Amino acid sequence: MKTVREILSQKGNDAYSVSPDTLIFDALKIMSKKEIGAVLVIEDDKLVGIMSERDYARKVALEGKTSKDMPVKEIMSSKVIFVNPDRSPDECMVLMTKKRIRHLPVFENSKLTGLISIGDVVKAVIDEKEFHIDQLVQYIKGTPHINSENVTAL
Amino acid sequence: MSKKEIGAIVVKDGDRVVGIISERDYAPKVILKGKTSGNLAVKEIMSLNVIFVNHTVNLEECMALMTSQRIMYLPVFENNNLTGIISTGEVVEAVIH
Repeated sequence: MKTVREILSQKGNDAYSVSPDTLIFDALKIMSKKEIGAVLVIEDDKLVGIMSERDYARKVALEGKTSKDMPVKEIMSSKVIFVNPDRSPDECMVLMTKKRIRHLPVFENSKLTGLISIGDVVKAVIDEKEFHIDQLVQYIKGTPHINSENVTAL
Repeated sequence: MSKKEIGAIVVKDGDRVVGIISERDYAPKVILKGKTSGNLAVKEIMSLNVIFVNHTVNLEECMALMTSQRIMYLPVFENNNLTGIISTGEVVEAVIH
């Protein structure tokens, strides 16, 4: 069975971080450029929070605030749930489901060694099996020429 | 999305599915481009290629598809009718139970 350590050895130990006073806008730029859904918030070498795209959508955009004059510390989650590298993907899935989170920082001997996402965990679970992806992919090609009045949520 | 606590919405034109919009579309396509959501239509930022599954597909196949296509949400069809949407979180929850 794979462990978090092996997931990290495949994806790398990079964990992108910002400071609590970084503007949310600048944190979003990093997330967009790196194609990641969350950044860690670090102050004086200590992990003090995590900010995800969900924090942003829920706590900034909808409240009519703007990301350009608000620091990350205003919306980050300061209760950070983490794992050690010997955990299995199954244990991570249980934790993520229970806590309703999609990212887990990884700590070994009090030292941050990486960050794994729910996508990384899912990948680890299915990597050992073979799928015929080409047979699974079906898609609808949409068109942008539609009236906005017709846009309805399911 | 916030009220329903969901991360994505299917966009339909009449009965036809024409796109999908997720939380992930928002920051890169709206805020970082200097636009505001107050006067922008969903069609401006929705993803036009909607990858979906039939209701007969199993959970592992969904996981494989989500991984290979780098997506978090899969609309589900039964007899050409949209019957739901599943998220990575829901698939994971189903797998561990």
